[in-house]
Amino acid sequence: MAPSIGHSFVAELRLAGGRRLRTPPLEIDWTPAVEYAQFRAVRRGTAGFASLPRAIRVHPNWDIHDGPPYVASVRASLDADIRLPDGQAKVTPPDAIPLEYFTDPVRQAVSALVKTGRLTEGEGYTWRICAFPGDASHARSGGSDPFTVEQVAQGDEITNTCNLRALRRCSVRHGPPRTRGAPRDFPVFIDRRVLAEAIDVARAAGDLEAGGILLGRVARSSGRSDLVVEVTAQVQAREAIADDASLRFTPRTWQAVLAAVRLRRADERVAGWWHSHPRTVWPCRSCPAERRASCPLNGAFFSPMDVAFQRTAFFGPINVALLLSFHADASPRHDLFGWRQGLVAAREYYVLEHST
Amino acid sequence: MTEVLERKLAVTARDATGQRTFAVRELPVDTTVHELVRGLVARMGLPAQDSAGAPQSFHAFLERDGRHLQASEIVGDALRDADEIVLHPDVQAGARVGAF
Repeated sequence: MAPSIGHSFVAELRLAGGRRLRTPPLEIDWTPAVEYAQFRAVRRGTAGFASLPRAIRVHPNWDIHDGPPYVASVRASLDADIRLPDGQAKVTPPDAIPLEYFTDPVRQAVSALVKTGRLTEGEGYTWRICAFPGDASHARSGGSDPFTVEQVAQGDEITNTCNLRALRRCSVRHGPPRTRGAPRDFPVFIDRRVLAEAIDVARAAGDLEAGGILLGRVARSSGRSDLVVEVTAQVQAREAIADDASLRFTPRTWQAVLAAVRLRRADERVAGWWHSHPRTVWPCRSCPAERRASCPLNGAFFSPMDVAFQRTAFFGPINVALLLSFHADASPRHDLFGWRQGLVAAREYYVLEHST
Repeated sequence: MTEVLERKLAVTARDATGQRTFAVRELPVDTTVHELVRGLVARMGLPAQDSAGAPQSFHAFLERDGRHLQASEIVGDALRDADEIVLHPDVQAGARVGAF
């Protein structure tokens, strides 16, 4: 699981008055980047879920203007994938890991600098990422444990195929507009009945959050070599602990919801999760309609807690998160989030009106 | 003369949603469940911290017994060869008002 990393990454902070300060090497969670690299191979058909490539290498793409040590993005690749040696990338590849990936590690490093007095609390700064040669692969490798841990093949290769055009004909597209040049997400179809069930559960929860697990199937589209996820069911997490602004999955919650999943058909796999944000936490609820129309808060808000939830339990690259947000209308808005370039982002999806 | 052989176990560990499975071998029987879980979290690519920077909590669920193991339990007492454990996180999602 741990990638090979030939560099250590630090943040260069630019403070007021032009002062520059470099942080110690950042502690970076590379798992989403590794998952992204592995999943690219699965989407291309050069690997399967049961034969995920293990040898992943993380390397910097240098800033086109300033060159090393300034990083423009990073690339997590299978060793066989690397075509350009470090320093020769003239453009940032569209499927590279963007600098936003470093946001949390930089924030943590800055907090540490504040604690040690090297930075004043509240002091403004901008940051860039620098990379220096050095092996950082040992971080969190667990190498000192007196036992060995090795990932084993799951044995669940994708053998189904589906007709993507036919699915689209029976569906309505939702989500943000497509961005030119951005990596194309794999298509996700949510059965209308699943969406309706989740809305019913969320509505019944009133001012409390509600949530559950999404189940579905993965197929390869016929004629196009991409994966397609169809969400076919939801299982409510009845044992979750909810209030108006949070939803907690305890070990007991997992035990109960996964037991319910096991009682269902065996050909389903975990496709993700869903949860609701009740109207009581909608920040625009007291604002006039004309202000809401231009307010950036008047949308779907996938909180840092939600991102951490996704990272902790739904780190698989096919895993999506359906968010139901109760605003002014009786029906909630529904948005889908998923993994893209190692980050969680709003994505397009299709609501399947009729099963094909 | 008494010869004491160090007994070791081989078990299987999965993440909560069953997306990754790991073989754990050469597991000394005097390891605590806490030590096992801590090692597994690091090796399975699971996050060490929650969104607030606090340690992310995971509990080992023993499929055979249908129960969560206590962190202080000793592996040799709780587990058998070929047992399957699942790591269940204690994790929170939500729209905390202060985040807006």
